[in-house]
Amino acid sequence: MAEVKLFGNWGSPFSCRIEIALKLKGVEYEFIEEDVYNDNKSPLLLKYNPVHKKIPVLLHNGKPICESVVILEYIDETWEGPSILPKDPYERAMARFWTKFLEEKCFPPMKQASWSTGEEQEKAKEEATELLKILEGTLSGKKFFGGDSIGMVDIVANFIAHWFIILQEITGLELLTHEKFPKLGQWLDDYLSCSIIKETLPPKDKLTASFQARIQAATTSK
Amino acid sequence: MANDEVVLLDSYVSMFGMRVRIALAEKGIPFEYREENLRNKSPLLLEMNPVYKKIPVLIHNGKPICESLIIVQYIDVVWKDRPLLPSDPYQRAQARFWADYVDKIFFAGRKLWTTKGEEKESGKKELIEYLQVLEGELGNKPYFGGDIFGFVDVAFVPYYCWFYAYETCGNFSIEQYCPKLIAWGKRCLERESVSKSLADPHKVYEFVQIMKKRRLAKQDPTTELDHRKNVMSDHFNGQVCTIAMVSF
Repeated sequence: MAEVKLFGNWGSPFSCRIEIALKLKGVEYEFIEEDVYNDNKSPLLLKYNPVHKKIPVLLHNGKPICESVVILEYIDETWEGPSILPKDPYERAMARFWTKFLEEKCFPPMKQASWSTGEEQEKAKEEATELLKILEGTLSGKKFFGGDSIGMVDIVANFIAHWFIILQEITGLELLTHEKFPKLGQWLDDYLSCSIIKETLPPKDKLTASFQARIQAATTSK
Repeated sequence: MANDEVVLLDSYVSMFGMRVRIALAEKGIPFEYREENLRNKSPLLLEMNPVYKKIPVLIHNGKPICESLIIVQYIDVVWKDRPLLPSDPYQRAQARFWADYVDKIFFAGRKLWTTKGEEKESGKKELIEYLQVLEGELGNKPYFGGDIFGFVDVAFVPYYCWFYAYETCGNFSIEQYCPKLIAWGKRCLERESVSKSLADPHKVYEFVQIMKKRRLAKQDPTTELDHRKNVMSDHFNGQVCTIAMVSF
């Protein structure tokens, strides 16, 4: 009997991605909560991911797979169900390209824009805006980055749809709005209406409270 | 696939470009190699990779694929002979994991000529640590792929021709820390796909020296440096090879 466990954290966009993928494929799994934000990692996590010591880690029949995008590809190749990556080799290369773009190019400045201040923040905001324009362009004529249904790129863009939007609301940033980016705005609405997405994203109020606590801690420690 | 048109936009010293050259050679795929002057990028490069404007770019029947490991995976699926990735999903996941890990070397190694003092030393320390992890993963296997030269070997072996530059800039010997990696590199070089795709380590080092001088000149404009001397025409076996600016 296949045994699937996922080491993650309720507030992590990275382990959330894996949960979305497993649910899309209808795979049952046990979620093991890791206290990563307090640097309180379990011996099991350190055993299964000795190189990076990070979540998420997927454990399938006792064998670990690490790094969220690697895990997503593994899930797609292992289980039947809706495809996460396109079958066509060229389209697959494009999906991988945009996934990497989100991870390596978009995530850092969007995070920076949310958490920093002053000149550093201004620079990050400018960079994030340029990247959002590129993303807006790739959505032309499509409901999701994956086409008619959610795919790898949409799954990995979860941090934009939820974490970034919440941080925007807290900080008063207005980088990603329906007015500035109508296609992305529509994508947000469609994405957040998907039942699997709705049931897998961490509760907004809990995430908001956690962000506010971190902002508070950062300001009081200065 | 006789009527395929395959063009590779590349740069001689790029370890990322080398990955694609090796993959194409392993599969026996004929292609047109185009050396890009990264200080004066061609309209074709800008059109084919508008997002990053970087090499390598593989253009297959007019359609561009960018990012070296994405290109290698594309090649592996389209030209099915001589597979580079294992067929088992778990082994594939491991291969992808380690290929991704390899690129930590790029950022650490770069510090050896872009920084000095403490920052340089910490870059060197990081580089050695990453190499030791990779040495551990290789173990006593002939290749990262086991008995077969595979995806991780393709991803990592281009860095082998950068070792001399790292060692010279950092004043250390990689073999002292990672003898298995050196043996592995030599073993890989016995493959024609690797030996004809890797750059000459001394030319890589010359390139690094040029980059270093340029950075210093930028920081101190009073330094005399002929900025026009960026074409080393007779140097690379008669092939005009304009030395590149900063992806490095």
